[in-house]
Amino acid sequence: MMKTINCYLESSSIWNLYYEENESSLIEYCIENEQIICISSIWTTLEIARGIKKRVNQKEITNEEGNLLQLFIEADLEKLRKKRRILLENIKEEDIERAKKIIQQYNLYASDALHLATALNKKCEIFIVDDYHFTRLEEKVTKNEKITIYSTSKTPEELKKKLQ
Amino acid sequence: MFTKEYIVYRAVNKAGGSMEVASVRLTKEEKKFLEELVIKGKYSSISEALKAGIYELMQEERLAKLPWKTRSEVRRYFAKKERKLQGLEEIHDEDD
Repeated sequence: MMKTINCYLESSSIWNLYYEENESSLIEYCIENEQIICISSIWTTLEIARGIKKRVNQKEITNEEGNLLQLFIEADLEKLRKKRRILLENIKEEDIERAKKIIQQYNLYASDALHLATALNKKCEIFIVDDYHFTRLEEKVTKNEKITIYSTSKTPEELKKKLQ
Repeated sequence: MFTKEYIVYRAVNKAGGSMEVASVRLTKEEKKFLEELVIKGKYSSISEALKAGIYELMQEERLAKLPWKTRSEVRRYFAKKERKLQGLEEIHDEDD
């Protein structure tokens, strides 16, 4: 039987698929690979919407570009969802309860805690975030939880080995 | 007993007060297909199943107007922008 692993894509890593200058080969690899079950939270879509709006507010992009980007991301995520390449989990009470404990234990922000709680409840082995979140989470979490934090700048090689 | 007008009035209000009505001619096969979707519980009515199809067509039309077809095209387009923010969220520290 083909070995599969559950991999949580935090919103910063999904954002990386569409906007960042240095595209993450790791995220594209996860999205394309049948052995990886990509999971995120529906909350991610809200964080992305806010990320776009902030860029419009800062005049990094125009309002028109923001609307088009939002439309593209929504449609692309829907396509990936239909192809079962990503599962966008609804927020459940058990995720909130676990997130509360995570905030206490690791002193994380609410949003980070919710993502981590969802990942742990969905039994994800890998949690992928951008470099900024990586430094914030890696040391605090990896020691105590059965989940490995990967940065989006990591190459897919290590993940490939895990799948063998 | 409610009058027909009252039932229509209630249905329209429930739907937000501004729903249009259209009748659609279907073949037996098409109607049966939609009924099966309702029986399977995928949609609550034939009307809802048809609306789902319409939304998909509307979405396709909107997407056809987008200037990009792939994720890498989107990335390339926005790579030219001068960055005022890093990552999805602004880098910030909270007081502990």
